[in-house]
Amino acid sequence: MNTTWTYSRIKTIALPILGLAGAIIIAYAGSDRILTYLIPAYIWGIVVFGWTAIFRVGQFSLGQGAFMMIGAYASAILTTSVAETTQITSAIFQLPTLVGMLLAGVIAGIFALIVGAATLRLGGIFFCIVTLAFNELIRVVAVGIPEWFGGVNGILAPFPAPFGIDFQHSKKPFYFLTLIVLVFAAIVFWRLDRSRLGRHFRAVAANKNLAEHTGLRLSKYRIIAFTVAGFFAGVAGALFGHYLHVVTPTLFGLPEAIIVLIMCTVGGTSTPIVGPLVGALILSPAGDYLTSKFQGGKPLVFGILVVLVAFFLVNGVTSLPNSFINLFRRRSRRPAEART
Amino acid sequence: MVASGLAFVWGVMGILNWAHGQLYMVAAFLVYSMYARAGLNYFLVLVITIVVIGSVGIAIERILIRPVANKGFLAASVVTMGLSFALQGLITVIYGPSLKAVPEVFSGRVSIGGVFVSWQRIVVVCLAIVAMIGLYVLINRTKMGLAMRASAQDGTVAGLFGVKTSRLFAVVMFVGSALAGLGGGLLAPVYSVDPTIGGRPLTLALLAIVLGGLGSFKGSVIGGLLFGFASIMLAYYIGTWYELILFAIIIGVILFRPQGMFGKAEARV
Amino acid sequence: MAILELKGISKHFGNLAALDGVDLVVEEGQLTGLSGPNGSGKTTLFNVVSGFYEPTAGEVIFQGKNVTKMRPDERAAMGLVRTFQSNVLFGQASVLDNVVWASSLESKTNSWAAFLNTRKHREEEKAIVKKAREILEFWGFSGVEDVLASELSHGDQRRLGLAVASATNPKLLLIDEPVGGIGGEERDSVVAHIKLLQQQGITIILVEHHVKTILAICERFVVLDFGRKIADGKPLEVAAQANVIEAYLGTREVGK
Repeated sequence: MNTTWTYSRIKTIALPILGLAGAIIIAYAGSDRILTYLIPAYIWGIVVFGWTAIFRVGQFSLGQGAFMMIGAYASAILTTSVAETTQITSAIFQLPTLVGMLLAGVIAGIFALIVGAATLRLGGIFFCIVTLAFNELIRVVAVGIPEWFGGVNGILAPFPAPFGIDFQHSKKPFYFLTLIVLVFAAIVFWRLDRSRLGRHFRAVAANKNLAEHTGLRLSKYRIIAFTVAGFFAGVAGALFGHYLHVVTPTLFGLPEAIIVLIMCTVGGTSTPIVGPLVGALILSPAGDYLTSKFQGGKPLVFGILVVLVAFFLVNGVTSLPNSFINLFRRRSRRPAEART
Repeated sequence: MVASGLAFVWGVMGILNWAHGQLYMVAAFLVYSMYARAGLNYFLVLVITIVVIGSVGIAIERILIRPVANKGFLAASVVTMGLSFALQGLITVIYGPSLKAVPEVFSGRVSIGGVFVSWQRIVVVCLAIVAMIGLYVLINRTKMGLAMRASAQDGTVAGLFGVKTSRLFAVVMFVGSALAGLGGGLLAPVYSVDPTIGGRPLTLALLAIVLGGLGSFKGSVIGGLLFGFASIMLAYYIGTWYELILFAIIIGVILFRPQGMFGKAEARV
Repeated sequence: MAILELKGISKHFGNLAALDGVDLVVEEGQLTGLSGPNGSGKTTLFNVVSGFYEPTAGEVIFQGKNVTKMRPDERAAMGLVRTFQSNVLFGQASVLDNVVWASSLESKTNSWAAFLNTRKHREEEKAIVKKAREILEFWGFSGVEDVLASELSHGDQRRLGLAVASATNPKLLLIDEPVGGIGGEERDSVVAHIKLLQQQGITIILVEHHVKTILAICERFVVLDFGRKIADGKPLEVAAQANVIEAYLGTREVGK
């Protein structure tokens, strides 16, 4: 008992500080190329937190890609400046990019609320399939209404330029922007999990009948998790859009929805943020690297990897340290005899 | 038809093979290789493809699903999703990501009610109908079909009554996967072939299951049928907008009748 | 004051009538025993009363309010709680966590306060853990609060189920075969604790096969058979009724 306590204390305090320090150092010490690997990884990190939260409330979402799309398109539309308008978006809001991204997240969150309210009462496989369909639907809509969404070619998303910081010629500003959002997301999800809400999530996931009979309204907690996850997926999508400078209908589809799942599974879902983040940090750069080396490498390797993990490392990569510790300490558990 | 294959497996075995769509895609590629490139006889190619894909289905069940069967639906899903990814990657590595064209087997068009329909498509529809009838016969008229329906209702009890579940599952996976394979093989000459085509049939198949009703075995198979035909019809008559309309219908159904056509009304699953 | 009224409760599954026109009035503070042969509908009745099933016909009136259409969590919030016949627990959670997780009704602060971890939230949380420990002590789980629920013995799991139910501050508690599979001293202890619960003011309906137990602690005895109520009255009288004995044909327990 004592060992795990200290270990988790170390984890909660030292690791984030170390991680943050490392992240900042890399920005200045490393090349821009490293940043091109890390920025998408951070963005995926934001999304995987949400997926894990949904998973930890007992549901399986295949729709995070849809919310990323909504966020990406919304932000692009909201922030397009007159100079860059190439297509027929007649409503030009010209909002500053940061505001645009935030609003995009809110919009995505609203969609998540609607979808969640409609489907999370039933949950389970129904929810799963509907989120998948929703993913497809968003893609279909994006392609199908070119007047609004630029059709197959998509629309341009401007470079962010808050406070006059130049985002165009160096990766560093974007890196720090994503890092900030990532940290914020991490704090939100961590706080959610630690509060009694996280406890309710776990109860609902562990035994929904019992949880319901102790007064927990199942759909409420599922919807909370799903909506917050949707919001952050939207923000992440917006970030991605501005990072790539263009938003196309093929950006986030079914493969991306599964990638999120794979990242979480490989990283480990027994922790709300460390596991998924590790998954994203490992797989995103790895995926980018594989795709640059040979086509099709990424899906192949990811697919095999997740199967292996499911077979051998049920709790993901992040359970390895604990397993090692258990091996050395060799604590035994005997069924307890309770006094009456 | 592809949807029915998935629904079939889901109904009897209680697992959802997310790689089902990829089986369709692999089949299309097999047909491409054997027919378009190697020039073998089309029907021979179809038969080979069906057998191969069906066997792959059995392999999937044995190798991937059995070990995680007791860990629940989630574990099986993760595994089949991983497989789906891996298959797509594998095919991309082998064949490259670009579109491949498979030439029409039956050329020429015929006029039906004022609309030109290619023979190819007619053959596809006919064979699909034959396959569906075959499935129906299998489920409802054979002894094995009875066993399948029993297992769909309650696997443990069926086992107690002497149904050899492992053999049954093998057959079910074979048939289900073979249907996907047949779909891929049939549609390869009709649509283009590239590694990404697996996603659409899967999504539609899943939606067909939802439409037919999640809890109902018969419903999802029928749902698959109806859906398949509906989407073909819609695609033909409405053109590019058909996807939107299709999805709109689905969303409508989901919102107002979540249990689908035959599903049970109990909200607690 | 009648805390629970069942009016004409029927529950059909297809052609099978699991419950057929059951009427019941339970007074506040009563300890009612509910029994009947297997399949007579006892657990189904609990399922209807707790909200797990919606009845095919009839009404459930709790504390004067019609709750027939309410979800289980709404009823639990009103004080209508049940335990389960099988061991329904948060298996991978510790004994303490099981009770703490079940204490959601103790939280008065809203979700935002919880998220932001305000001082009130923190104090509330401490109070919940403290109360959970008291509940565990009452039911005899001191010293094992970190054991995983799934690793407990069957008897302990049954008792944990009762502890979990206590955490919800029930006004009416439906207890479903709490000592199924437990014998001897452990059984007697659990039964005594149930009596203590009643003395704390909780109305209890107890499903129990062991008629001796019902005779020992219950003030009232209701018997179901084939989904219908066939007896309702003082335990000793009901146990002697001809139709009750007939329903139990073959068992040695009745009449002792």
